[in-house]
Amino acid sequence: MKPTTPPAAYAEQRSADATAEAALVQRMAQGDEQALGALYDRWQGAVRALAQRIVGDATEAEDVVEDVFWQAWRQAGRFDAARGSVATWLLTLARSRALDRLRAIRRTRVDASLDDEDAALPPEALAASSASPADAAEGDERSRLVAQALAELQPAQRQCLELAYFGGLSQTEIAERTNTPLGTVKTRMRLALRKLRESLAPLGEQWA
Amino acid sequence: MIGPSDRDDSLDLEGAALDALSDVEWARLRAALPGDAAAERELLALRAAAASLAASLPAVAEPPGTGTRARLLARAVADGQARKARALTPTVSAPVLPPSSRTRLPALWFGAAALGLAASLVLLVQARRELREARTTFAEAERLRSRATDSLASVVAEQDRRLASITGSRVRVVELATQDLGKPYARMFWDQATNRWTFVAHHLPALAQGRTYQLWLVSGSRKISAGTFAPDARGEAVVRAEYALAPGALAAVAVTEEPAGGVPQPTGAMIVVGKAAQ
Repeated sequence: MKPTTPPAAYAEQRSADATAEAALVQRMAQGDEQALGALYDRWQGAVRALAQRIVGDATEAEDVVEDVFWQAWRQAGRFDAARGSVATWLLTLARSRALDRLRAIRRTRVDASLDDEDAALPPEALAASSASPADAAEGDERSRLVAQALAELQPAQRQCLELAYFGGLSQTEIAERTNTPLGTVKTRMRLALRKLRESLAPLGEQWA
Repeated sequence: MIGPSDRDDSLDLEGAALDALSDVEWARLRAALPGDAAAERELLALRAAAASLAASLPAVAEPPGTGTRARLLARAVADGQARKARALTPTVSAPVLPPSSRTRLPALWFGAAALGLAASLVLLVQARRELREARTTFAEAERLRSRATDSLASVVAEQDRRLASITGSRVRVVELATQDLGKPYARMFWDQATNRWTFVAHHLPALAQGRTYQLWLVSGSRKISAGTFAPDARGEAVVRAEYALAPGALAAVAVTEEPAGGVPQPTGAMIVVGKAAQ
């Protein structure tokens, strides 16, 4: 079995990394493109995973990844560490851009899918990574800890969170789609997010 | 940080953290938040918790050959140079009269100048106050507009990319048709600079249940699937794909009708075909 990091040790490590990431963003605001490269190496895997989950297409997701880091470069001066971590900022940008792309795809009403995955995306692509081994291991650990917190939620609560976060649906749309009263959807969402927050509390403020 | 029980429960902060509120609820929250620092802090913490959903996904590595990182850094370098150039642009200062010229001005002129200066100061104070108010109003409007602007910029960038993929200087066009006039016809735009393919078809017959159209790139003896698709009610369809092919390697483009889900090699009837000019 793979060894795991205690939450307290992870929180301590993340706190140090978060400080370093905030410094990277500060350097980006001053026009240091090497800082953009470092931030990209650290977070491109998570941003790409989120974009692919939302838009459901590797090519479209690649465009989202580029848009996200370009927006981060242009808006680095506006980043305020007091309002949240670099991770939260970056993943919020990624979700927003990916949902924009998803809505644009739906508008064009194109029904197309690349089924020749071997031709368009070589299998070895999935194994290659520009992140350092340490970053990749930390990413695995982060993923495991959050997945564990999500697993503790009731399935209906988790469904509400995922439809809103990954599908970009409003509470009203979730109520319609799941044939559930709006009040119930609101309650589930409230309880789910509170529980998730409590579960992640031992990881510290810089959970990501 | 406040606990969940310490706050105004009429504000749906969890819904806000997940961007899942209705327009009316958003408006109500926007009106309430500026005066409620505790609720603002709570919303930030809930947004961080919501973002943890993204962290539950296993990371996906950059596929080789996409060049996203290199392209980003090149754009950043160009942007940095443009910023430096703007910073170095010289400013023009108002000319200053030498002391000898000033001492020759008549006393009356000094009086008029003093009165003018006093009036200017009053106007300046008033203007500064109005400017402060305008800045506050603008900042609020900017905050509300920034989300819409970001979305619009993303849509425009996407449109630019799509336009470039059919009008770029390195785009080759392959015409696809049947023998009969007025029957289905299509065009394939191959942007050799970016390896993006854009296929546009018209007058395609509606598909039977369980059937799909499949797009093929023919290169020598290889037939490479570029995706399955279905036309809309007017028989029109657009397919976009990204695939690297050597400039002289494309022999033809074709569309066949196949079972739903597609097939590894074409088996069904040829709907339209077009030979690539060498």
